[in-house]
Amino acid sequence: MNKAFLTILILVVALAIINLIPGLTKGLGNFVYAVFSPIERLFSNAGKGIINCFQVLISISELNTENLALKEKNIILETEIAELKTIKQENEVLKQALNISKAEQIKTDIAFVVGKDIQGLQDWILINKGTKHGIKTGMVVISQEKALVGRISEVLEGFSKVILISSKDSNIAAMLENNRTEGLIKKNEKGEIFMDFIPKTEKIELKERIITSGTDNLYAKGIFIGTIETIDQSDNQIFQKITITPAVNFSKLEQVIIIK
Amino acid sequence: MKYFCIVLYIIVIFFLQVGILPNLKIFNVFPNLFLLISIGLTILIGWKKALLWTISLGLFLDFYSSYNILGISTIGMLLSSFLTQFLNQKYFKKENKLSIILIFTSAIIFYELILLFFFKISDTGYDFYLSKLIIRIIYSLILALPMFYIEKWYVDKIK
Repeated sequence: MNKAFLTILILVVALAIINLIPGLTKGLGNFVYAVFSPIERLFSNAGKGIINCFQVLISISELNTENLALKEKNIILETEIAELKTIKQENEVLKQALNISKAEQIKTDIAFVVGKDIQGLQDWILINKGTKHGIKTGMVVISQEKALVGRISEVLEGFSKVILISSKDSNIAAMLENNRTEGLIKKNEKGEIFMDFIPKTEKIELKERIITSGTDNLYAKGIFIGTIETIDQSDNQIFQKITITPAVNFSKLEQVIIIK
Repeated sequence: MKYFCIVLYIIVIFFLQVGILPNLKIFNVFPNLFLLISIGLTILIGWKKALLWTISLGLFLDFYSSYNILGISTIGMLLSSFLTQFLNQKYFKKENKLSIILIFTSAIIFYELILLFFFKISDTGYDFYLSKLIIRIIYSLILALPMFYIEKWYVDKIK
């Protein structure tokens, strides 16, 4: 028992010293990530590939139906893209006319996802950009499809940790895109993200888009978060509660954009 | 050959923990195989001989966690290792499946409570739910027993 106590004591003292020396923990972390992140990425991609193979075999009967639905949606989206291209051109012309310089445009950086919480206790990812790339704590991270991923929580020299919107630490001020009803996005016991305190008088529909409202001063306004999956209008509750399907599939996230 | 087997085992466990299990979550939960290795080795060879494994795996988990203090997982795994040793020597001297299950369950619960304690102190978000703990224990036990018997086979072989 004495040896056990002594071992704990020595370990606690050693860890306390390591934590107290400025920059040592971050330096060690940077070294560990530099060594292990390529291996983790390799294993993570291999694992996803194996699981996908099994999923394809299991869902092979649903693939045809899904394929037809996707083809229809693709046609609709292509039409929208054509309209958006026109709008983009008009936007460029207007910017030039109003002399809005490129310096006022949003600066971004692209990063790869090279790690994640391997205990599965908290929702965060590791990206391969850090202080030497100009990354700072609090910067917003979005996906390539411009949907909200999360926020930078810790920055090392060559890596950064991103707290995902599905993390318990993330409380995001959001609103419904159509009727502009505001609320707070949180996480429930099952790991689903939901929005609470929506008055029952508000008419909302499934698949309606949720965007950031910008009122928390953490995320800019208008970033796409997800769509309404279920609506709970139980009589024993004062407010409606909605669960949200995130626009980003975090398990398949490989590349992100950091808004500087 | 001895070291080759150990390295191969570490690679397989790492691959499962990083590549496979995050894609096989049940209610957003999956087991911590590093913790299971530490518990299994403590049962088989004692906490002193398993100490290097416990500390190495714990430090690795610390780096791949979002809390800013290095050592929380390490201390958690070490204390769980002590509890495992204590239960193994005092109450479950006769090794059978039930005693193994009870030791693993106790150690996993103890580890979770230690993490919860540290998260509460550091005011970091850690969504502790009893239902998730129960699911994690059951999921862990499904993998813990085969892992334990693989480790036991290897330890008996090198003896």
